[in-house]
Amino acid sequence: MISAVALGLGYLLAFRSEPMNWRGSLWLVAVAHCAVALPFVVRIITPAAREIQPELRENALLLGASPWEAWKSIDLRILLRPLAIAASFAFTISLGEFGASSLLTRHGHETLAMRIGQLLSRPGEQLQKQAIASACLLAFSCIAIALIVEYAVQFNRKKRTQ
Amino acid sequence: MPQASALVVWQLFVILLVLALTHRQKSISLAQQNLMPLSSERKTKRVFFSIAATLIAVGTLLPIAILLTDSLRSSQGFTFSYWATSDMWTSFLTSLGIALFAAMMAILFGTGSALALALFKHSPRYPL
Repeated sequence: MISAVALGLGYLLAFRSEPMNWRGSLWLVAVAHCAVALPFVVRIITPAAREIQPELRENALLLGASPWEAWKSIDLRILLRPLAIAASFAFTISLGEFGASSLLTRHGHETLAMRIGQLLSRPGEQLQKQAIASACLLAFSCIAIALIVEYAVQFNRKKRTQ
Repeated sequence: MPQASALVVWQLFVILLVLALTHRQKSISLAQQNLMPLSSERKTKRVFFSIAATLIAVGTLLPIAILLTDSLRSSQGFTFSYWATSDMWTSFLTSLGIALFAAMMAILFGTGSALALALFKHSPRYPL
């Protein structure tokens, strides 16, 4: 795990000159967010992936399943829950990420977290209230994502047990 | 200062509420999945769990509640105008797009890395 600010600064220095002058492009921000979230995703999925017995896959192949079918019906089925949880983690981490975004985003393409910082740095009650409303929106979207994923996981579990 | 005292009082009230709810009960909501059967624990442990759970809940929910009330209040009274700025929603959509892309990439690379690590575990040459 690397500090998001250090990561952002690294990307900024790496992609500042032609022909790779990609400073300010949104996809570079997304790549930085991905790098920040990746360790969490790996830590969530690895224990579940380690529990998959290779014999199950081998048996499926022996019974005539194609490699893709074996992967879909064994690996993906076991990994579905951790994948959903990891996706929600990555999504919420990216949604609230500030360090790397503040270095890589250009004017006009601010993320919500950055906008909160910008509004709070300027004087005036109106701007402060707007920052508070933005923070509220950020918090509610994170809660909503967590609830949706939890509901989907529970629904899937119920469907499987029926 | 009055806000701080209100927070302390509210926190104590919620601690008492959680204790009352978990008293003589087989479980709290989490225990439906047998994760934390409180009834089988000692009383001190139950009290500790209740306080910890309450602190976490208050620490998470209280800032959101304060933010919400603050964002809907102005000197003239209730207002929804701070939520109706186009800049906020533009930034929100930008954030959503970036987050979606980042999450997809993280899942793709994360799953690949996790499966590779798992393969190392099952490989006889590289036992982890």
